[in-house]
Amino acid sequence: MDVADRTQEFLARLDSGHKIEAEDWMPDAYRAELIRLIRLHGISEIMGTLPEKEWVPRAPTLYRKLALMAKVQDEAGHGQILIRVAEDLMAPLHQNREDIMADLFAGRQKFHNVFHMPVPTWADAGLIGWLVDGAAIITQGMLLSGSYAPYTRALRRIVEEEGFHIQHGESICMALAEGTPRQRAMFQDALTRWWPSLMMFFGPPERSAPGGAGAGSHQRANLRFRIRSKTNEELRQRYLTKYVPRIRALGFSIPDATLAQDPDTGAWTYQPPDWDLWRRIIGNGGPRSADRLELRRMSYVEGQWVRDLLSSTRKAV
Amino acid sequence: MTNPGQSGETVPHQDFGVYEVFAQTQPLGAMEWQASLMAGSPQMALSLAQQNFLRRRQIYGLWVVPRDAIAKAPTDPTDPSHAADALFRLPKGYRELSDYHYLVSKWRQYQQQAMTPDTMA
Ligand SMILES: [Fe+2]
Ligand SMILES: [Fe+2]
Repeated sequence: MDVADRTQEFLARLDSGHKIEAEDWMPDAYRAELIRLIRLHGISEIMGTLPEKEWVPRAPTLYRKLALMAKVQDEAGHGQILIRVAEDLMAPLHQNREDIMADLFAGRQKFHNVFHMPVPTWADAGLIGWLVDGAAIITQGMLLSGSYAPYTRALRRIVEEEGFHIQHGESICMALAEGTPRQRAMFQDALTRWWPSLMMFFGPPERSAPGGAGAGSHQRANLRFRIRSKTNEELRQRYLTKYVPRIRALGFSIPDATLAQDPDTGAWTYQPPDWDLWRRIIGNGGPRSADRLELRRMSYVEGQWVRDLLSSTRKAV
Repeated sequence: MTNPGQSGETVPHQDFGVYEVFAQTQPLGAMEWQASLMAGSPQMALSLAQQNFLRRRQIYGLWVVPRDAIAKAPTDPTDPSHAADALFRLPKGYRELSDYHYLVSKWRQYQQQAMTPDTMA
C-alpha cells in the first residue's frame, strides 16, 4: 500500500470512530497537526500559571490562597501531562520538551492570548478562573471525543480538575458580585478589561483568519482528522450562550453594545475582536509577554542544576 | 546554557527516561495506568508521579515502570502482527458469561415448580 492509499484507509478508520495510538502509523500531516495543537495547549497551561501565581501572595484569605495554589499546581500538572503526550509524537523527529522550551524562549512557540495579559486586581484573578477556565473547558470538552487516544486520555484527567477551577473562579466572582459597591465596581472593571481577550480566546472564525486560507486550514485539517469536532466560531457561540446570561444575571454589563442573540436561531452577533491585535499578542507583543517569558526563562536557567543533579548520568556539580 | 534556544540549533537533551505510572485506586482494585513522565531515576519518577498525578486521591499502590521494560502488542489494526484481535476464534460465546444467562431463568422456573401446592403436598 502506498502512502496515498494508507492515508485513505486511515481517514476511513477515523470516520468509523477508531482511535489512534502513539505508535500506530499516521500520516505526517496528522502528526504535525497534533504536535502543533498539543504543544500550544501544554505550553499555555505552563504559561497560564504565571498570571495567576501573581495573586498567591495577595489572596484575601487563607482559604482563597490555598485554593489558588492548588489551582496553579493543577495547571503546571496539566502542562506536564500534555508535554509528555507531545513528546511521544515528537520522538520520531528526535525532539522533546527541551526543544519546546527552547522554541518558547526564542519566540517560536506560541501560547494563548489570555496569558499575555495583566492581572491588576483580585477580580481579574477570579475572572480568569471563572471565564477563562470556562472558555478552556468548552474547547477541552469538545476535544475529549478526538481521534488521538493519548490526548483524549490526558484531557479526561485535565477536564476533571478544570471542574474545580471553574467553581473556584465562580466562587470568587460571586463573592465580589454580592459584595460592596467597590467590589462590584472592581469586577465590572475587570470584565470590561477582559472582554476583548475572551472574545479572542477561541481564535478567528475561518473566513476572517489572518493570512486567509493558510491560517484557517489548521481548523479544517483538525476537523478532517477528527481531532476536533467544532469550529472556533461554533465554540465561541456556545460560550456566549452559556456565559452571557450568567454575567447579566449578576447585574454586570458586557462592554459590547452590538451583542445580541437571534431569538429564532439562537445565534449571537457581536463586535468582532481586532484579529490583527490578537496576532500581535500571540506573537509575544502583548502587555505582559516579555515579562512572563523572562520569568519562565529565568526559572528554567536557574533550575538547570536541579535537572543535572536528577539526571541518570550524575554529573559533578 | 544561559540563553537556551536563542541560536536556533538543536538543544542538548537531559539524560531522562520515560516512565509509565500505574496506581491502585481501590484497596481491591487492579493496578491501572495513570500517566507517563520523564525522570532520571525510579525514585525521582515515584516522587513526580505522586506530586503530578496522585495528589488528589487516596491510592493503595504505586508503580513506575521504565517504558523500555514494557513489550507492547501493536495497536494499529493494519499491522500484520496486531495481536489484540481475537475475532478469529469465532464463535467465542462459550467463554463469555452472556452465553450462560439462560441459567438464571431456568433456576427461577425450578424454584417456582418446587413451590406449587401439588408438589408441596
Ligand atoms: Fe488547565
Ligand atoms: Fe484550569
